[in-house]
Amino acid sequence: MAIADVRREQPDVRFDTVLVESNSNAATDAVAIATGFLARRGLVGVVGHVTSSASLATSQLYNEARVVQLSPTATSVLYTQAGTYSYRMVPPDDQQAHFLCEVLCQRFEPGSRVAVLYVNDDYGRGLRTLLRASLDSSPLDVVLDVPHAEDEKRPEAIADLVRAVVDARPDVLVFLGSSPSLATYLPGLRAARPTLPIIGSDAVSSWERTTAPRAVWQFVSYVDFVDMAATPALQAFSQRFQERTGRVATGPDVLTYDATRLLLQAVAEGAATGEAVRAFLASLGRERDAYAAVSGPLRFSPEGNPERTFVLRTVEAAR
Amino acid sequence: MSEVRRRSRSLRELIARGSALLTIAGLALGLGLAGVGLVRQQQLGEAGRARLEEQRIANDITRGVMRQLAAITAPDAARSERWRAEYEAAGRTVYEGLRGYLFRSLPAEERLRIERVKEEHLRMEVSASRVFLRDAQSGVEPLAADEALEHALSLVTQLEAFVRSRETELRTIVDAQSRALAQVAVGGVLVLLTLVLGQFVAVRSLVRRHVLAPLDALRRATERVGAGDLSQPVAPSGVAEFDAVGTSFNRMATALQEARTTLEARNTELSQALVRVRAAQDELVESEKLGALGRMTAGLAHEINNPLASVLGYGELLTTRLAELPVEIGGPLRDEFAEPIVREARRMRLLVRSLLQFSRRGETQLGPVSLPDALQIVSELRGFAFANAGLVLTIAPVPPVAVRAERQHLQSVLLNLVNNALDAMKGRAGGTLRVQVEATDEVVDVVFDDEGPGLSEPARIFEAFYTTKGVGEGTGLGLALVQRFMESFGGSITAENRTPHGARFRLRFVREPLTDAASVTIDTPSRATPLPLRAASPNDRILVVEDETHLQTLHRRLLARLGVTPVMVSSVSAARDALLAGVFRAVISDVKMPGESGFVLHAWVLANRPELATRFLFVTGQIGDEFEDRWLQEHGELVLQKPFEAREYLTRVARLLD
Repeated sequence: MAIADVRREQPDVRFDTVLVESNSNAATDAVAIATGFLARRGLVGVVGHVTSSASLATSQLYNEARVVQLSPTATSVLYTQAGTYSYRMVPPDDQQAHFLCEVLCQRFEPGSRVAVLYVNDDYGRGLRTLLRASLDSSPLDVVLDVPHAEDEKRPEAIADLVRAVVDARPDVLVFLGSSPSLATYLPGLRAARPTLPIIGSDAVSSWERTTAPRAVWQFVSYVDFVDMAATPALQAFSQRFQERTGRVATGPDVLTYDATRLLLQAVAEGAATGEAVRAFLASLGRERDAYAAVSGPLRFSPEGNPERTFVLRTVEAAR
Repeated sequence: MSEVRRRSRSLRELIARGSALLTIAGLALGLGLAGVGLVRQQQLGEAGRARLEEQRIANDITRGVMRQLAAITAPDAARSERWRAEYEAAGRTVYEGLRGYLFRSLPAEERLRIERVKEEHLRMEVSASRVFLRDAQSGVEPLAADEALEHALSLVTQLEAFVRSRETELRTIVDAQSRALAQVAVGGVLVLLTLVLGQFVAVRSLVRRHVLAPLDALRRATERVGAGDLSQPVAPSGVAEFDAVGTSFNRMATALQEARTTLEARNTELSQALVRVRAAQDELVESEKLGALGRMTAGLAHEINNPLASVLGYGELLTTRLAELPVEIGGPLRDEFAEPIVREARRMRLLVRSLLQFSRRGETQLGPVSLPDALQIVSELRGFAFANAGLVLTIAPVPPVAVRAERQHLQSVLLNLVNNALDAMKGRAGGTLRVQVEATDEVVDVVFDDEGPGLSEPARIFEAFYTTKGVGEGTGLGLALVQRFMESFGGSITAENRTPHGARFRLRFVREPLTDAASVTIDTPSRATPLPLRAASPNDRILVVEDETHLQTLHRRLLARLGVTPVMVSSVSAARDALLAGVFRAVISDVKMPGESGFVLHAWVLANRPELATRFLFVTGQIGDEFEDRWLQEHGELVLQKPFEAREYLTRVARLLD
């Protein structure tokens, strides 16, 4: 959609894009994809990868190739250290962990029992470590803290994990993983604890694209970076996105849109190399005005992090 | 040099620069090779350290995984917080190890391998967590443990593959570094060889260009100088030392050139001096020859003059006596005997005087002399002789000019040339000698054109003793004297043949302002004029100092015509005695006498009988003595030369008495 918009709005700008859609969040697949990207001549920037694990796994390849990597949703704190060509559209997980802890403390009484399920990758482990550090110093009681695999399909493993959550009798489940993973556990969980509040990390924001029935998503809240109704631009984007895709626009959608347009804007302004694109991004809010993204004004810290806030969104009950 | 110069470089500087350049090149090469080696070594070290670090991380991961496996397989794993904590700690170790790989520079395939390790680890941990969960719920879960073990084994396998791959890469790097170092070494040797070769070529070129070429130029210049060519200097070579040598060489060549020029000038001067010396030598020889001739002439004159004076005197007395006799008696005797005696005696006297004049080289008194007067005398003297010989002497109208000359010598010059023409034209009836004068503001030329046979050897006619006349007709001194006199006048004489015959002599004089120059006078005997007589005055005594008796007799006979009483003495001492003893009207004295000379007597008279100082007459033959000649010249009024003519003698003595 972003590419189409730029071609329509700026027909004189010449650029070439490659779109790769992967359903895998595995870092190994991301490395293979990045290797394929880097084999192309004239590559100056990549919008991706979506997850922290994939972004981290590929960041060194892009940095060594002097290609700007602009990840829409990678939140791992480690990404800050990835290199000067590594940028992202979202703040790092230390801020998300703090935000989650505040939400939990606001919504639940002290001594409430908290169960934590985290995906055992860079994203999940990092966020879980930061969150545990915050929760351990809060009045909440962590009664379960177990990992899960991103692509767990084995019923017994899923059942084991559900049973472990149920057995822990938590007042709230914090799920640090992707919406597809959560979707695999939700049926079992809702069968045992139909109203158990679940607060997901930002990776749950694309819950609507899972195959799980919407009913099981009730009582699920999740962290998001953008309030899609906050501004007319976002509302307009949401409308156009839904008209174009038939889906409700999420934070990652608008961030990906903004990231894509931002790189194309750099190219439109003459950036012909990764170094030039990096210089363009670094100049935003300094030598240049902050980029007027749909999601809001955009500028980056020297480490490549944007200044953004978090919002907690809750899945509305099925109508 | 210009400045040269393009600027001349010192050979020492060139060598120093070349050495510095080569040293710098060598150092640069060495440093370059060392640098390359160090870089390679550093890269190898870094690669080695990186691999060691990766190996350490791999060891930590493996160790962590083993500890995690040990924790989950412990019999009381689910109930033991200790094993749980051990498991957690080991898991963090593994994760930290895997994070350690995250930002390391890895190829894509290695990174993929590491990501697979990470996946195996996360799956192992997920399986392990199920072990703990099952243990907590319903006892040991052997399948989960097996899964964890499988993931662990797979992890280790992947990790080993990663490490092996890294080791292989390290070996590849080591091999590459070794090859690179070998290449560097070989390259260094090649470069060193090239450098040595370049140094050889550079040194050869340097020596050829900056040493051999200048030396060759110097050699060629030396050869040129050796061959006498000093005109081509040594060109600047651009090398300071050789330029200094070249400059010195050029200076030397210039000095040689100047010396040679000076030498040539000196040589020319020497040649000219030699010519002059030879001329002087010739002149000296001539002078010596003439000196000898003068000395001989003086001796001869001394010996001849006295008898000649007797002959001439007696001849004239005889002629006078015969003239006083009746013509029929004395005439034939006088014409046939007495006159020839007198004439030949006069000729003899002329010869002697000519010889004496020729041999005398003393200073002459130059001054303006009237040329018309001198030519008039010549005409009067020799006109009769020309007419007598059937020849013609024509003197063109002479402008009133004076020339620088000495009177007597001038007369001799003119007479000599006229006499020569007369002799040359004898036998050629009607032959004419034309004399004409050409005057300019500066010079006066007197040209004698005769119609004789001409000159057989014009170049030799001025040589002394060269004559074409017959024996007894010429002395061979006339023209030589003429030339000498002309040169003493500051003039010249030239001779040439005329066409179709005849000779031309041209006298060139320096013109002088016409003053009351004394005319040339010459005593001319006159047959018609009798000898002077004087009334007898017995009291008039004259002292005659003469050592020769026949001359005393002549003096007595001549003085008898003046009516005076001569008193004869033979020496100066006798004269002094006579002068002290008696009174004399005059003194007639010879100069050269045995014992004291007549000059001593004259000095004595000046001191003791000053009244006789103006009545003193030397009768002497010129003998070439310089002192006497100068004295007699300075006191001409006191001198009568032997052989004298009776008329002259009597006239002078009469003048003393008056």
